[in-house]
Amino acid sequence: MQLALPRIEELGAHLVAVSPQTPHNSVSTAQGMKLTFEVLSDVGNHVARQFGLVFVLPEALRPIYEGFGIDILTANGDETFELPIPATYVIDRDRKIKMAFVDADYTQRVDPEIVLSALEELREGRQPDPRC
Amino acid sequence: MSLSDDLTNLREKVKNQVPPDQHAIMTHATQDLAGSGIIESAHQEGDLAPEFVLPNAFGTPVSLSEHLKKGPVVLSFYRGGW
Repeated sequence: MQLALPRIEELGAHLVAVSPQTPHNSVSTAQGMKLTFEVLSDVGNHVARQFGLVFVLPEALRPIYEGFGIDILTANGDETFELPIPATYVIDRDRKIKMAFVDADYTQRVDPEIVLSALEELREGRQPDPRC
Repeated sequence: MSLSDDLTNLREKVKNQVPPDQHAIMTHATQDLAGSGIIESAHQEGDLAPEFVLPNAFGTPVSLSEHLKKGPVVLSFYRGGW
């Protein structure tokens, strides 16, 4: 999505990323990934919950993630092991959701072209076609 | 390389680097999650996004409606930098 950032901004939109990581940990992410867009801290997953995206990492998976060196407790600053399902939304200026991509499989990502098409259609004042 | 090529490579890489029994647990968990109904109950196209205020990486509060005044927002939820 970061590669599509210039085109997103050309279309008058902004990219905002949200994760449950604490702001301190977000900065490390931001610096590590050289991000140039807003990264927000949704500690406790309250906003993700409002979007209906929160699940609890099953106990069977927790030692596997630890084995990868991923310390969710420290990154997120809470003990719930709650995480958001990865999702990308295009939100119009009236707060209406114009495009939603929600997938339980974290290796699936929205195709940036779909995001850009939705933004182009907003610009032209038309409804985006979810079939595209 | 297209996005789907990259993702196929990522899936292969994960499959090859993760021991088979762990990989099976992870795949099963993804399927459970997909089958739990959470995808269908999450916010969809046509819904109204909730207004929110969250701190950015530097602790400054950022509101969705402030961003929307400037134009549409591409809002991306992810699990973390890991």
